[in-house]
Amino acid sequence: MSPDSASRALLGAAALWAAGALAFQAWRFRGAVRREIAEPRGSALAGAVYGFTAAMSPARKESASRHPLAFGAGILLHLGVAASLSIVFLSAVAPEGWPRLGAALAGVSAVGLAACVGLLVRRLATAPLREMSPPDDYISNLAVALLLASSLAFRLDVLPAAALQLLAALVLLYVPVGKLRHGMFFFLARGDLSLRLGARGVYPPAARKGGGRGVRR
Amino acid sequence: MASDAEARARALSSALAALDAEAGRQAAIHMSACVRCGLCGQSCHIYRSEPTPANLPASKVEAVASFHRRRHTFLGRHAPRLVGARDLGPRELESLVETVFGRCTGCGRCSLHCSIGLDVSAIIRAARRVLTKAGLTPDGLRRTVRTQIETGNQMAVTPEELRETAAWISDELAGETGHEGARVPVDEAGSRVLYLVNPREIKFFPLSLQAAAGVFYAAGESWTLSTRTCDVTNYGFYAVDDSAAAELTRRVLEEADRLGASEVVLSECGHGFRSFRWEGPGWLGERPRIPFRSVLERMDAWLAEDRIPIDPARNAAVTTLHDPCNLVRWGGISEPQRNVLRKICARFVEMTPNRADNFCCGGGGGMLSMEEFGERRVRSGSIKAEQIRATGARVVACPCHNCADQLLEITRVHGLDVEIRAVVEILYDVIDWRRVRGQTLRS
Ligand code: SF4
Ligand code: SF4
Repeated sequence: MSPDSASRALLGAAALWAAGALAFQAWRFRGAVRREIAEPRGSALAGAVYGFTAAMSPARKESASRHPLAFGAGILLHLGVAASLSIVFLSAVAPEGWPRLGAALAGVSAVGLAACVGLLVRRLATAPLREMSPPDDYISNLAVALLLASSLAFRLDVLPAAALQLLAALVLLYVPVGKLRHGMFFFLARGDLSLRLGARGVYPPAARKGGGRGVRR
Repeated sequence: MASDAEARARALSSALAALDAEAGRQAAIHMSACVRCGLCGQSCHIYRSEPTPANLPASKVEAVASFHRRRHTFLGRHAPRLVGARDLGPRELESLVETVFGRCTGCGRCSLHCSIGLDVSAIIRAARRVLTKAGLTPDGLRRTVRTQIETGNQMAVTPEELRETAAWISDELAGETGHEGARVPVDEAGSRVLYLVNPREIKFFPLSLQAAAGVFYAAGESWTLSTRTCDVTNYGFYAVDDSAAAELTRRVLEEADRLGASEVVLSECGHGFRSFRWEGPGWLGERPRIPFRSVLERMDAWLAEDRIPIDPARNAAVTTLHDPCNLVRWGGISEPQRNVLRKICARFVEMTPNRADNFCCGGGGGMLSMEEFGERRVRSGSIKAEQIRATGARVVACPCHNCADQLLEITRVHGLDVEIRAVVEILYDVIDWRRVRGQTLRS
């Protein structure tokens, strides 16, 4: 087996491990996201749609509107991760293909890397956050930084594809056991809350008549 | 007699069993989702009024999740320090009591603003369930649950007391309105509606019950109180004592059946509404045959149907509205009270923020029954007090007797010259009794 195909096989195995382990954890919660037994007042589905769209906008979420820098960095970080994973995927299936797309993805990864470093500094510099953070928070941050940096290095031709794939495989191994599993739990948690609030007629918010904004800006 | 050490060991083993039972349940999803970004502090009234790290919603989540992680995740079991997983021991149990009963009202505001969208109050409630199963519910709350189960209501109001109060309120009502038929019916089989009140209304705020009786009469509704189950509150909900909560719900349904009522109407009460309307079916494992409605929904419908003649000019005071968390954010009732107030108040102003984005008054989560956290409770009401002050209102409509107690205290502490009133009381004041027909429509 050539080093390239070995690294591709390892990457594939790590991706399978991550997907399988996350799916197993989600499966353990089957039945936990329950439909309300009570007669609904609104629509659970409309609640879920709202929960995953407008409810996440800075106009509706103080975690975003009160912390625009951290919120912005978080968005850029996640975009960077998506771009880096795409670079890793392309390196395995089409190493020569889509050079323009590859350059654009590298740009997004670079911005994501800067955001990732910024969030690490914020965690270290904010006392309550620092006190609350176990090593997992730093490992997760560094694992993501590693993914972002290595995909960038690959695009800049300083890292061979096999090395990129091995590093990405390492990161994927950690995903289901540490904080990075929030990538799956985010959907379960927000979905559960939004479905419930939808059934109760809380999400989406009622049309506002007679003044009074529901959200502080 | 069992020694202290034995009792503590028993409590711990019950707590661990209860903690294990939470794995795979809804709260464990939310415990696994927090990314410890720490962006939730400013959304919590308790953290804002006392910004110590322990009051950060994320810290409260972590205080519970770390025990779950220790027993139910791979790294938690094999490398606990790496993921901040902790063993639950006697000392941890003690500090958990303060965290989940004394630092969080379960108001849910932080969840709406959390970057992930995790349900912090589901986590807090799971931890309360664990502590309750371990016999560690704070005394005041535990006593109230016991009183409610033993006497049928949280203030141990006796049937005689209820009948006497109903009788003198009936006299007052007839005198005030000039309608002999206006009264407080008790134990009347065949009534369409079984009405539940907060026992405070019977003991301390009879004007509220009188107002409701007047409104029911003016609307021509057929209704009754019951001496067996008169209580709209459910302290089993606050303690997360599911079997007590289910028992209290079941009794009301059985009584409604016995009296032949086809609807249970709930007096203005946030957690009472949430308990009967939303959580009750979960406790009982089935959808009840008889619907539960808030009196706010009923008043809204009656006014929309023109069943109550009113003269809003009688209420000129600038009036604002408090949104109880369990009624609005967890109950979905935000518009009926607004529809009513816009019709009966000449000058109605909103607080900011409002509706599902309201701030908790600080009296939720059973806080009023736990003296040990009283100082923090009052301090945490400062956000609400400032909201009220900013409206310039002289009257605060408060559709929850529990919140009303807290608002009475915090407005006094903060020197606010306002009246705290139930919505039904404001409506009662503007009824034009000369135009009330005075017949009771029977089903
Ligand atoms: S905002 Fe949500 S995810 Fe972030 S620390 Fe607070 S509870 Fe956790
Ligand atoms: S549920 Fe309410 S009291 Fe509890 S942490 Fe969240 S905002 Fe604070």
